[in-house]
Amino acid sequence: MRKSSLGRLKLALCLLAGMGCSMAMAQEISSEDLQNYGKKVPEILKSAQNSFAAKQLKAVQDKLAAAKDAETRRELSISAANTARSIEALAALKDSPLANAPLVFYSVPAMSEIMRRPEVFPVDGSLGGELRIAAAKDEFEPASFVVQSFEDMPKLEFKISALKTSDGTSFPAENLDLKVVKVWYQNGNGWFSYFSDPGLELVPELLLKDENLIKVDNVEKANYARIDYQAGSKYRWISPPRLIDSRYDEHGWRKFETFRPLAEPFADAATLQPVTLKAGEFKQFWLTANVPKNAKDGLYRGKIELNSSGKKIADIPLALRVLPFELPQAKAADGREFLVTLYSCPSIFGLMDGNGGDRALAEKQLLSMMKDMRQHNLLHPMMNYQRGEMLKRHLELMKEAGLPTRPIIGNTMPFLGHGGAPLGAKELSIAQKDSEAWQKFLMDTLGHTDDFLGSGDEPPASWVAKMRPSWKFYHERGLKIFTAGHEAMFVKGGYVYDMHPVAGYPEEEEKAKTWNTVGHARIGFYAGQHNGSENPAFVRKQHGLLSYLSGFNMVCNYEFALGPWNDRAYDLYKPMVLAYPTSTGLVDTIEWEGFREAIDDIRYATKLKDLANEAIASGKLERVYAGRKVLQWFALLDGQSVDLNFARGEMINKIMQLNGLR
Amino acid sequence: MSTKSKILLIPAALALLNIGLFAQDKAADLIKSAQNELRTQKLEAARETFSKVLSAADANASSKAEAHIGIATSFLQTKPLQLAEAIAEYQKALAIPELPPSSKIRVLSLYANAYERFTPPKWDDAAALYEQILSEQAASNNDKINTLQKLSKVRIGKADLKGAQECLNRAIAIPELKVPEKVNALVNLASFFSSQADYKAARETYQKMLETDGSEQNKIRANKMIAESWASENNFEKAIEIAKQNGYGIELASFYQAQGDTKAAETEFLKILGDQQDNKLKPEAFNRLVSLYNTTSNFSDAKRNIEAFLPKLSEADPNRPAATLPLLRNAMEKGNYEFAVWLSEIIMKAPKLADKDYMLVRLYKINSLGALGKTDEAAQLAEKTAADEKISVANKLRFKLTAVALSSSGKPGELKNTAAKLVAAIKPDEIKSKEKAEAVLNAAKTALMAGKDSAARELYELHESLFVKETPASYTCEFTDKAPADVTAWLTSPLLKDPKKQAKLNRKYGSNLAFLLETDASTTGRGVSAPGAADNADITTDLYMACDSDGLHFFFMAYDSKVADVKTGLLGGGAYEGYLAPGKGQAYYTFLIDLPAGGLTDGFSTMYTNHYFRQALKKDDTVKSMTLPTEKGFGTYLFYSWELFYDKLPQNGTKWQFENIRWTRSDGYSWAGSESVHNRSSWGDLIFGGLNEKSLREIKRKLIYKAFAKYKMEKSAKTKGSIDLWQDEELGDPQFYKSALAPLVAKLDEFGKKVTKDMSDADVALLFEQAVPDWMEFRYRAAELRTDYLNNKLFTDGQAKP
Repeated sequence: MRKSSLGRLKLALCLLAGMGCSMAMAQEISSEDLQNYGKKVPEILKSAQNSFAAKQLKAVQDKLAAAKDAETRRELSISAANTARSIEALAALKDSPLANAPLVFYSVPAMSEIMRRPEVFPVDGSLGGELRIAAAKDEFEPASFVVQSFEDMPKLEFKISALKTSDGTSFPAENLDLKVVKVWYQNGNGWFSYFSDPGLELVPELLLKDENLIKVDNVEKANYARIDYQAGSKYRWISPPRLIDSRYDEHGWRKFETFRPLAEPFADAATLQPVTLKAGEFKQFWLTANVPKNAKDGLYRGKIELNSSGKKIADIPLALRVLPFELPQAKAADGREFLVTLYSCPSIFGLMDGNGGDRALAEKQLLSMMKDMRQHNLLHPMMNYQRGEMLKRHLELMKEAGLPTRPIIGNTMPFLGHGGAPLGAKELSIAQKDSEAWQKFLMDTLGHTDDFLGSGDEPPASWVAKMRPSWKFYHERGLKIFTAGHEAMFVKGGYVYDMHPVAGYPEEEEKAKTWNTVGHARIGFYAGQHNGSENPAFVRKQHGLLSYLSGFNMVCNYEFALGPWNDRAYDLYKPMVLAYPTSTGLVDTIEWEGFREAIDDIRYATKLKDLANEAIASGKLERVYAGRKVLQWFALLDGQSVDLNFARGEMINKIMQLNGLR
Repeated sequence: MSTKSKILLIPAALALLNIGLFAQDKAADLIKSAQNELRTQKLEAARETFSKVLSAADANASSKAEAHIGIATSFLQTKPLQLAEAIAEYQKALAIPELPPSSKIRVLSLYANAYERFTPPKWDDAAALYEQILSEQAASNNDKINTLQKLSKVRIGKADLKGAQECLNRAIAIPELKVPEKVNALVNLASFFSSQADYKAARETYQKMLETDGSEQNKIRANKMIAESWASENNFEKAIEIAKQNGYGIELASFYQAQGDTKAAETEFLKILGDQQDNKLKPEAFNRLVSLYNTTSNFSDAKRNIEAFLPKLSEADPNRPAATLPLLRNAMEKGNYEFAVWLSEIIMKAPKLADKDYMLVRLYKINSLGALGKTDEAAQLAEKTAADEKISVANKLRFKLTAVALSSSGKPGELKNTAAKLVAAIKPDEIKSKEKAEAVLNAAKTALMAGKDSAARELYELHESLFVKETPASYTCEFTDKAPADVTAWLTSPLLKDPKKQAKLNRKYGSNLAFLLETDASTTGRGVSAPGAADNADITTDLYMACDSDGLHFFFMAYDSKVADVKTGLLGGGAYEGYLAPGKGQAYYTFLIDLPAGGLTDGFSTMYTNHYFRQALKKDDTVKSMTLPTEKGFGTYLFYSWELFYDKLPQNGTKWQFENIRWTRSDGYSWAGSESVHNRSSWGDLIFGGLNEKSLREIKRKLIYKAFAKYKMEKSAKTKGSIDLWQDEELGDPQFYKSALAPLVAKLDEFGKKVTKDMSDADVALLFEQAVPDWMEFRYRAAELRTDYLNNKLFTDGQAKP
């Protein structure tokens, strides 16, 4: 069906749902809605056109009649309501092949706050809707769909056809990457915060090619990882309670995770493997288009073919609009690069720590992870090295992965300023020698000294005051300094810091404002919230336009944790993971996609503002007005509440408008 | 004198002899004994024994001085330091008649040092005492050199670097210094320069050392120090050059290592180890090489070279394998289990392992074997270790449990029963309950490492069964026609007088509020949360809740005996941190309220406002709080509007989640028993009561007014309304408005006509179902329609132009 009717269909869905429309906005169906659907089922069954759906609904109803315990009854009621809702929606698609197919699909926004669990109806989805991706050149862009089968399907296979424009231009199939969204157990705070909790809840998170890489046991409430030993595959329990998931804790330093994904033969498949669908449940899929710089702009169309037991079940129409412009790198309001970094990015020594001490393997893993970071807009992963051969190698790998090495962020300075006394001659001398050594090392290695070195962490303001003379040595040599912390650090170090991760929330524009008034420092929020939420829309908002509109000029949140895979491994915090490590690289997640979209939003904003400023500078009134209207639009955007899918669409529209006026 | 009398005299003479001949020995024995007590931290006993020295008949001035020194030392080992008492002892020692000069100098030096330990240090007092030593006739050159070095440190403490250097120069200038004495004085000066990072001056001083003493020994010492000073200022090339010139193999390797060239360092260590001569440096080179491998985690090279060199070194020192223990720990940390099995077997051969290491080496081997899938072998070793006499009772239980876990069949419940019997078989006086629980937990860890998942799970369940679980907190939040809506209203509300409505924040924060079934709960670190545990004037907090047609109303009464001081700011009032979730799996709200101000912090958002969730923001009046002082403490009112939850309205019996922690001036106390902040699993149930059709209708009625008002704001430029915007010919898109938005606006406007102050029940039902969602979320509906509209243009051939 054509997309032009989809908006109407979504509205129709709401209206059909009646009372359910408001309740459907909740992520879980309400008890009142369940009751309503319970009453409506006989009527819905009578009118059902889709025999598969009717059969499934009837089976659920029979089970429901026999079920005794409240929890089972609730689960079955939800399943019945979900199928009933699809049957209702199908009524508007009488001529569609889906009308009597054993499954249906809904195209849904990839970036959404809705936790798409197997029992959650896609209230924001378009039944049978075309899967659409609008992307600029040099951009990765996701789309998503949810499949609901009306019968158990042990092996559903997907095949993406070639995408072509009306004039026959092809889009390379290898640039389309289809994955399944794995719903697994995360700690009780999953989706909502970075804190730990001993409980477990089902949360969508992993983007897998092989959904069986992780096995989820709903009875035991447990996740298992499949390790592919030469002698055969074995599943390992990877979500045990914190107290027993500890393989080395006899010397005060606890190694949390018994499961060692970097050391074991544990890796995802290269292509999407057949998936299993359970009757009545929803399963989400994720398609990412990688539009190369040299792609030809235009509208490409194709399909995703769904096959089961060698038989075609359905086609999902697929459209890719390659926009007629290239996305620039993100820029801050002052025109400098909007720096994107995160704490605790992978390092050679960190990977060796996890892979059994294998240096060669660590380098291979790091290179793969760096390429992944590059593709997710994390261009300046923070380092934490001493000077030496290992750092040199790290920088070489960065270059190989296509990551810029100017500036670089991180690396260690001697920790000075213990105790209450001012820095003495010795400490100052140490700082001087260290700055000289860094200068020499960086000049020899990179030919520049644009390294933001980390000096201390979350210190009191008195320490900042004490340390200032030592930082002068570094500044004299072109090096840069940063320390993370609270507002008081501005009081003592506003003029001296080159970069400052501010403890706070991305909406706290007053925090950015004080630093921006001085003007030279790179400012980014951290901790409000730390990474850890699986919600892609939340991650997108906090790291993207919200930060940008608040006046921050970098992303520097804490942290890019390399696992653990056990979300219950820590006692206070959740593992602050964006992507999970395996023996060959990273397993993508929906929040990692959210992070990429966050920076892409800023890249779009950069493009749009550049064009607006260019239009204003043209002096031609029509263009001047158009440019100013764009800036006015930005000024009125509320970073906290704005619908970012809308904002993206609007930015694309305005870019095209300004391009048209050139 | 008769023979008899002579005989009678013998014991007396012997007694005299005893006094005379063994007088020193007796005092010395006491001193020796007291010093042992000092070493083992038996401070009271030491003081008592030293006191006996003072009253011993044979004690001379010197031994008495030692006794006072010993007593003073005991005061300096206490926490906090008892400096005044120590100083009194030194003074007593100095007052001993005929105190030998050497004792006097020793006492003065310790006395001075005591002044340095004050906070802040009493530098001048210390300096005066050091000067007194220097003026002592009997002070030797070495006494003076040492004292001047100490005096120099006092000057550094006073930030008088010039004075410090002068002290050390004074030492060098002492007349008639012997060569070794002068060398020591020069070393002290050079060390001072190094401590000030003046490496050039340090090297010049070492050069003088070379000129003063031409012996080979001094030459080696001085050159090593020169090399080290180059290394200290990151000039490794120079340090390496000197080390090479002089053949300092160990140092050369260390410089390479510090420079980051671990390969060259390894080569140097291997050269020493491979030396055909009987090189005395081999043990040190071996240890340093192991340490290097530990740093680089290069287990393969470590294995090769341990195999090559350890056997020969072990001939001379059978305990040498123990030197590789850090490498074993590292292998365990990194998870290199093949290597760990291999190395643990070697280390097990060391005859003199400390008890803890003896156990750990075996544990590591068992864990590694398990991790490698060799569970039978691991189980056998666990069983053998459990029977080993060198293993403690607690660890024997651990290894017994490990053995049964590793050899368990996987039949559900079987292991749990067997393990429970093993635990029960341990008599209460053999090990504490805490150790039993830990043994179970530790065995579970090994089982998990070995991939015996069901065994690990059952052992964990057994562990948990050893603790008593707290009853989950719950509160029935009753609907009432008009709930108290500020502090004063609550204080006078009948709800406050109803004991059934009162709950308490009396579960100690941070504990899991469980305790071992056996009696030694206090040793587990888990507090007992008996009711009233927090029943103290400063930490008692009462909790009340109610709901009405506006929203949810909470009242917290924090008792505080220091209300006046808190009001004036002399004392902190603490704070509340709490959470409210409209059901499991829903985004939750966090409230942070400071006392006494009662200010609520906007901040921690589990989601940003979107179509399906609304942040609780003070500016929107969807959340409110206020705090007022009372005679007994502070009353705090907290309110959440139904506006936040219009799409999640509860029914009777619906469970939401709630928790509140009060951070008192001492500890945190919570209602539901939070082990940590945002500890969702421990939150209690807020169960709705008293809701019926009528009350729900009243809630909906008020929500209709709010939703319609919110919708109307979309029509005004003043409130940045989207309806206003999209109709704007310059800034909006009238075409979009007309085709996509206007139909919705028309429908919603039509519904709006039904909004009156006396809406019928039917209209309330209709509007709540069909209008409220879009009125409330009009901005998001408009955004979605706009997105679809733009997409439709973008995804239609030939339509992608602006």
